[in-house]
Amino acid sequence: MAARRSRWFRRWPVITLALAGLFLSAGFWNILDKQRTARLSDLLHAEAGYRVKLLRRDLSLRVLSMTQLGRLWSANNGLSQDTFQNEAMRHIESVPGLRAIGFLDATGIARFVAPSAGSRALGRNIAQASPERLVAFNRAMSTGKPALTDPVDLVDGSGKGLIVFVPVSKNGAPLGVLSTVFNVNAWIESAKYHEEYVEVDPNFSHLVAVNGVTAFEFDGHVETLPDPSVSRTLDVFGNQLSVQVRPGAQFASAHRGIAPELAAMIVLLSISGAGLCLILANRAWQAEQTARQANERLTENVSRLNAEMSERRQAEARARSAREATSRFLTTMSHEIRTPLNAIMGMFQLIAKADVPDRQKRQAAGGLLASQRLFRELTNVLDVSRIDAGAMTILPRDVETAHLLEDWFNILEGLVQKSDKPLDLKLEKAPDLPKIVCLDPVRLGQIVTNLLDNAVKFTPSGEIRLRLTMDEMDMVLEVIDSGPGLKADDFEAVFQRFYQVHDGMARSYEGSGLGLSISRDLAALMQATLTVENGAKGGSIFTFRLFNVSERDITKTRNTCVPDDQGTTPA
Amino acid sequence: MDCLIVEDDTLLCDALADCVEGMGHATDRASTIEEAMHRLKRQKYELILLDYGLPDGNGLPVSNYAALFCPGVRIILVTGNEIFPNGEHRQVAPSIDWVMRKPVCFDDLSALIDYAELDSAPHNRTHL
Repeated sequence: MAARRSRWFRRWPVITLALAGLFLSAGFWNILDKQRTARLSDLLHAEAGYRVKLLRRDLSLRVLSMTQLGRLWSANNGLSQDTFQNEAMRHIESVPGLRAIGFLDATGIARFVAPSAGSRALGRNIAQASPERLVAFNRAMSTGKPALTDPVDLVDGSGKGLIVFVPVSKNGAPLGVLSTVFNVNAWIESAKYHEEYVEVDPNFSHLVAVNGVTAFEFDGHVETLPDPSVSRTLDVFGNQLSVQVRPGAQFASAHRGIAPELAAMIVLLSISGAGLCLILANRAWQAEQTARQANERLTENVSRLNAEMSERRQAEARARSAREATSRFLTTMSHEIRTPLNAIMGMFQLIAKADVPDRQKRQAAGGLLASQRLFRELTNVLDVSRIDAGAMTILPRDVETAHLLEDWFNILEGLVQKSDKPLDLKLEKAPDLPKIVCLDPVRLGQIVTNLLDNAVKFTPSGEIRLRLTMDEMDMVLEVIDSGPGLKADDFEAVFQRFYQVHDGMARSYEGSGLGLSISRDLAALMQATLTVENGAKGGSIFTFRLFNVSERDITKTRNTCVPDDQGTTPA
Repeated sequence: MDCLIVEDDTLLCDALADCVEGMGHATDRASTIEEAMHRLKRQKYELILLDYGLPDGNGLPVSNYAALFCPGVRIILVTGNEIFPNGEHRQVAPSIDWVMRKPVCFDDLSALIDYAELDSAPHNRTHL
């Protein structure tokens, strides 16, 4: 929900900009379109105005020519038939579209008509022709000014025509009316030949009306549009001459122009471009902000990491210093314990050998044993402290397995001899034992001594076997005794510190219970394992397994262990 | 043999002296490097029991000094530290014949002294 709102908030400037762009472009288009329409309208008005003026001028000229004939009549108090005919025909021939000219007396009767041949109007009263003629006649007679009929159907069937009545008077007294009939189509066509006619765009059609009555319809060959159309009206001799102009489709498209659309598109594109620039700039700014924040976070993290590293280095240095101090302390303590103990044990040994009574010899022997036991326990305590402080070092070197076995068996023999127990000792070694192995003989000797000591301690009688074999790449050392064995629950417990095995008679053995714990810790430091299980026939089997022991070439690595892909490496 | 015991711990020094004298050898004692070198300048010894940790430094220079002033002397380094576990003393102080770690078993020490008396050549040096 919050993400959706956030997206919305991020997009509102774009939406606003888009709407603004649309409104602006619509506004621009609207304004320019109105201007375009107005321009079109102006063109139409101009055309209509021009047309109507042209027609009115033409009409005026026609009336003027008739007026001249009327003056001639008035000046001569009438004209003879021949003269009238000649003059009238001359007018008819010279004025396009003129059909006939007639003279009506004050009563409306047509006295002269040119051309006279076939004319039905001669001698006829105007009232008999049509109401429109009569209205115009009477207006001309009454006003003394030319009058125009509404468009009438010409009697010859050539279409619409207009009749102009020009009053003739002499000294203010009306003599009659000169009437002239002209075809509207021919009239409109003849307007083109005026000297003032300007060829305008022919893509127009016109409707000419007089007093609202259509005299001339639109040109049929022009495909016109219903809208727009413009009309202009002028007064012609008291009549309303109107011209309605309707543009053709081509005119509209030629003069329409695309300025509004272009402007709208430009505005829209500009705003879109501006919007795009804004969006890009915003995104760039956001990206910059994000990068800056990420950079700040990174800098903070780096600073924090550096601080942590510094702290850890200091902690490491402190730990190392503490470890070194502990190591120095343990070394010093080891020395300070061993030296006086040496004196004590040495004194007891000397007393035991001296020429003293047996009682003192026994006391000295007891003191020696006690001091030896004290020394063993102090050594164990120091070893545990050294292991816990991480100050126990493993120093592997190349040793001969035969010497190792010999040393260990000698230790076992010494322990058995000292214990005075009826124990058989056996040494078993596999034929595929490597001659030289890389290990720490001192620490391994410590483990083996502890195991052998336990075997002698806990085996009242029977046998103790020391077996050294190879299991693929592992060296396996086993101390097998024929003692009472261990309960399954004790298999792991015996390796715990201060753990001592008790038999059913609650007899505890000497020792603080640190030997096996130290042995296992030393084995782990040597990257080996120390385990115990019961033998098939009873007794215990303590197994020390050293992994990946390979034959060492003593000519290359005398007393040093070179790390290889299979051998051990110095700890 | 004339034996010089260089040991700063009085009790142990007495015990070692008793052990060596009990074997029929004469002993002199020194508790510092300076004192040991003083004695070596004055008298020739056949055997030196040398402690490693002395009040004025470790006893190794005494072994070099002894080899110079007492050619053929047998030197047993007695130490409570875990130094020279793999026979490194042969490179550091080649004059030292044997290294024994405290607490020294006096029976072992007696056996070694007997051996030193019998074998005057510096071979079979080992670490006990």
